[in-house]
Amino acid sequence: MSRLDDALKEALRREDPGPDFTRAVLARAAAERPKRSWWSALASGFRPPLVRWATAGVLACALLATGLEYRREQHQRAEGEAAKHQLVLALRIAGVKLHVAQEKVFERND
Amino acid sequence: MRIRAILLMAALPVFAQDIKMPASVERLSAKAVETVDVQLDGALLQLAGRFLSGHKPDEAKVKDMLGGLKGIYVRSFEFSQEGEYTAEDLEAIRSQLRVPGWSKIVGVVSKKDKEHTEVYLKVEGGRVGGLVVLAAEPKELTLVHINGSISLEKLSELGGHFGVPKIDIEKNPAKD
Amino acid sequence: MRLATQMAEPAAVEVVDFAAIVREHQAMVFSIAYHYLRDRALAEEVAQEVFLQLHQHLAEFDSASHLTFWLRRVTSHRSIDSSRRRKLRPQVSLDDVPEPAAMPAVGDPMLSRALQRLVASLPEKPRMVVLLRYQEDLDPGEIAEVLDMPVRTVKSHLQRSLALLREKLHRSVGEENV
Repeated sequence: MSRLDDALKEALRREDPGPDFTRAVLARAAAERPKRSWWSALASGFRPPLVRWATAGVLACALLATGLEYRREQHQRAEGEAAKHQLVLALRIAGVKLHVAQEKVFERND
Repeated sequence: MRIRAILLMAALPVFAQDIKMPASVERLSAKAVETVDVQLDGALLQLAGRFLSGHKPDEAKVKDMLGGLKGIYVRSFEFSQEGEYTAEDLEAIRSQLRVPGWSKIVGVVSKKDKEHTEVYLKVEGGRVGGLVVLAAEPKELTLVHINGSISLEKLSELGGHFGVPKIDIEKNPAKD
Repeated sequence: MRLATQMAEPAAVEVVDFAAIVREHQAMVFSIAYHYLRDRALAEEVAQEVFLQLHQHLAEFDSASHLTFWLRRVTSHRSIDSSRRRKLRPQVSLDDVPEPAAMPAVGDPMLSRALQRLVASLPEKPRMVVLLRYQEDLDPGEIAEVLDMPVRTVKSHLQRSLALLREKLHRSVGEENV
């Protein structure tokens, strides 16, 4: 393999975008997932005998409170990431169009 | 005619505080193969700002710009063929910018490419209070409205980041 | 790694699997986009879109190799589309890249940066061919499948691009063995 091949492999080696990227992807994926209530997801595999309903109820309430708070934070994170994505998109479009306008002005002035 | 105009204004969907998207332009989304619709008011801009990292240079620049902004609104339609929008559609947008406070600073028409690009600035008390870019191409129509105190210098600093091309503000005939 | 998800499985398991997939492949996806577009934020956007698209089709994959192939293919096509949508020529032309005074050693950051810029200024398809060859270590047959291109076209793009890159570096230092 030539030196150029080695140099290209070095120049084009993979680079990890980092944990922020992972978080952003997961937040957006969570925002786009079809809504399914957290409670129904928990209850879907939970079929206690009649005698254990009282204990299950207390546990469920405690878990529900924790889960709702977690969901609220996840939802806010998802909204924030989506807003950030929209902001970047808007600025990119604005920038491209302004650039086109500027180029046309320069063409005229040349 | 006047009554029709009043009724039309009442029916206009709100695009931004002072620029309303004409109903005829809104209907273009049915013909477009791709539509971009961004509506970020103050609250959403603040929310977005919380998720911009001050440690990343790209995002820090954007975060710095957000302070004076009240809203960013983008509607862009891409069509599969020419002729999907009319001169009247463009005039319905332009007429809203021919009011005190708004000035057209760039207006370029390319007959060869059949493209119109116009840039308007809103000046309030000697400061820029808004920016509108109207770009009309044969198969694409884009309207960008940035509402609030926008620094063209800071906007130019975004060039080279996020896919925003470099804008050389010193060469631009527009004044801040 | 469990790729398929079933409707009866709790949502938490699906999230864990998807998160693991993202962590495993994000360097590959991001780097293809970044080396192609030479814009970090835009590359992150493209990479995010790829994973979101993956998320919608997660149940369709039956093997890790199928998933990897899909990710490369979608990232390549999205990067090319993104570049076209910018409607800009690359900001650095081959003539603008500064020429080093002497041939830097392999591993020299200056050489790497120069090569990255040179690669980014190649035309669309040849640029992606070079990326897939040298970043992903794919052979021409594999590249042809990813890009829906005849193998002979891939080889032609590779030959001509390398000749171009070699010439540029050769002109700057007069070295024969690049």
